[in-house]
Amino acid sequence: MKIEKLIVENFRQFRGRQELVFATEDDRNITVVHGENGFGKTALLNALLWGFYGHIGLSEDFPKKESILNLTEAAIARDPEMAEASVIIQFEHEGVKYTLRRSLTLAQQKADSRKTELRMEFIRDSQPFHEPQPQQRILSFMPFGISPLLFFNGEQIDHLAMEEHASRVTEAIHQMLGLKLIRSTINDLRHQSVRGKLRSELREKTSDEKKALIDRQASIDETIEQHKQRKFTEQDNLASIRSDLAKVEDKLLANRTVHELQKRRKELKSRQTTLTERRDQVQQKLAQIIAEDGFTLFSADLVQDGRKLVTDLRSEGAIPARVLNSFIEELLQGSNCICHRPLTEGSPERQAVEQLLSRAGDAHFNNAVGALDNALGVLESTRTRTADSLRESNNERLAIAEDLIQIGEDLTAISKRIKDDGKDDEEAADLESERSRLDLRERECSGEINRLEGRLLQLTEERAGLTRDIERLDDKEAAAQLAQKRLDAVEHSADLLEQILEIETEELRPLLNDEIKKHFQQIIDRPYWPELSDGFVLSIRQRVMAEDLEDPLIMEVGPSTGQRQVTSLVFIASLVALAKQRAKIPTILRGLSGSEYPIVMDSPFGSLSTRFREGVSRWIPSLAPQVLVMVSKTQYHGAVEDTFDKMKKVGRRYYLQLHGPGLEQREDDFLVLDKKRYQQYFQATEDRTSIEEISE
Amino acid sequence: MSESKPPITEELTRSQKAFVEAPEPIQRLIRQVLAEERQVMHLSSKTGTSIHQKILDQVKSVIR
Repeated sequence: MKIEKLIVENFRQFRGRQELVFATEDDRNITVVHGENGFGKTALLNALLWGFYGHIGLSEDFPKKESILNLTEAAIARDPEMAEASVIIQFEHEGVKYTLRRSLTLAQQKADSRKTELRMEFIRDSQPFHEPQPQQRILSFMPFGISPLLFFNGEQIDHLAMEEHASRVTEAIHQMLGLKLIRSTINDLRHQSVRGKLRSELREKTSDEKKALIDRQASIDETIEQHKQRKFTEQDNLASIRSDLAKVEDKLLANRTVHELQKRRKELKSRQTTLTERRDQVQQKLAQIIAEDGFTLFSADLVQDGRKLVTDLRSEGAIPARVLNSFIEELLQGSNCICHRPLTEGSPERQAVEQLLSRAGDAHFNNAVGALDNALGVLESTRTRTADSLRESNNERLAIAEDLIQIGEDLTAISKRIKDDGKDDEEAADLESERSRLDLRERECSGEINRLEGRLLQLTEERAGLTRDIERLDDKEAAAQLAQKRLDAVEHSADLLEQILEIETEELRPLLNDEIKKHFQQIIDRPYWPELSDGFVLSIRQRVMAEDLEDPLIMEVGPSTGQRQVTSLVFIASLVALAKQRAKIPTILRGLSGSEYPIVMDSPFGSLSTRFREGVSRWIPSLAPQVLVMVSKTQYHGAVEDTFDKMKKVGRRYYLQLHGPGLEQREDDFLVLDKKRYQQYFQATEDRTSIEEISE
Repeated sequence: MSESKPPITEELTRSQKAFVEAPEPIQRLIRQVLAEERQVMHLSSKTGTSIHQKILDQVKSVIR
């Protein structure tokens, strides 16, 4: 899809008709809209979202969603049926040109602003056609679920690169790459109106014993769903607490009085995270050693007894046997001795050889004692090795535990010192109190998530046990058997689809990682890079060299807000790139075609350092086939402006003018581009924003 | 687009292999339910689509 034109009329602060033509050329695919904070950049982004999706599409940070019509228009309207806000979007999709128009009258806004009017026309063979189901059509081009990945506020996009949002990353992959179909099929198969109904049918026809088990299973399913929802809520809470905590910690770092202490705390916390991860690994290793070879530690007496037995047999001459009974039996059977004398029945020679049978050793016994001897050796060496490994790992665990206690004490001391220093610096003291409060909440929240995960595991196991019990109870009546068969088929289908979805998502991970690395390298050349881990966490890894190390260490780093923002942007760009070549990626789903999407970003440079700003602006043309960037003067001037000027990829450029009472243009508030000055503030009787084009 | 069975001659992906290894009625049921879901996948709300009834009908027609 390529957006050609956006027309807004009386939409929020855009009074009257305002137009914005998008750059559509491949070699000049960027449209820039310059606008200061509060001028209406977010409103413009939301005009596109509202146009495509209506009220439901409006972004979370868009205030007063129910008030779409321009306030002045609403205030002076004589006929509420005639006062109207509208958005027209002209776009091209797969060679067909579309024009959509969404509108809302004042009367409708007062009644229910969610109910808008949408019309869409398209042109085929130079003939205009009316689209009978416009919303459905739009959703088939650009599913609603992917809109936050295509139209977003750059300063708020960093959440994708947060560990607790791994589920959102997975969801984004499913949405953008078409796997959402499998997820929604699984959900519908397990829906109360499908699985629940089949369960009720079975319940009516089966035995009381089975009925009780079915009821218990249904109740567990409900509890599992509730726990999952609570876990998601807690994960969201945790992300928001961590984001607040990061902001407070940044402020502490910027405070002169406590700067050094905060710096030290940051180092200690980073070491605490690394040590905690290592402790978990060591504990896992200990558990593995104990599970696999732990029994050998209790085998000392057994080995000793075995060894004594073998030694006794050896000293008695029982093993190894000098003559085997099988050899004697062969001689007797052949009736010929080894010295060629005949061993005829009743002869003294035969009797002498027969007597040897009582003293000859048994071949099987010989072999068995040999095997026992060997096994005792293996057991003994495993026991020694296990004891050594356990000692080594346990020593490491204890050392880490000691270090962690020390770090904990150091952190407490730092907190106390910051509070003490805060007697002279009120801001530091307040920030520290806030930090302590958030720190406690973070721990409580993490604890609750762990508790819920543990309970979910228990419930899942209990459910599996019930399924086995239900399967064991055969129904006698044909109707009950059929009902059970249908329920089993639904469960089997949902489980199989779950497995398939997991495999396909997993197989997309290396493809995504390749794209992510490729995109990130275009932004910055540093020894770190983002990576999508096994658990679908977007993390940043760093190559660390040390003198006493032969190979560099690959370590995960605690990313800054800027790094998280870039990582999230790169992830989205990688998804957009893969979506384009979707048809080539294998799936069980047939007919998934590649799609091109535009990207519209509000303030994508906000939290970025100069180095990142330059890299991101250099990379923006390859972010998507069409990109609209909305940017303030301070974000644009400097690295971004220099890079954009050098690249010559900007096809269209606009700036927003703010009109209102008391708005006089100050000398230092002009927008200056290519040595030309553009007035941004205008004295007027009413508040409004207008869009003005700047000729390149 | 129909959810046709992937040809056996092609080298199957892990997920395709998992799919073709399932009993035939399960494969058929999944194909038919996916086809129903395709009709409503782009809707933001499935209310009024009777998708659940359609799935139920598919289950009853495949598993007899």
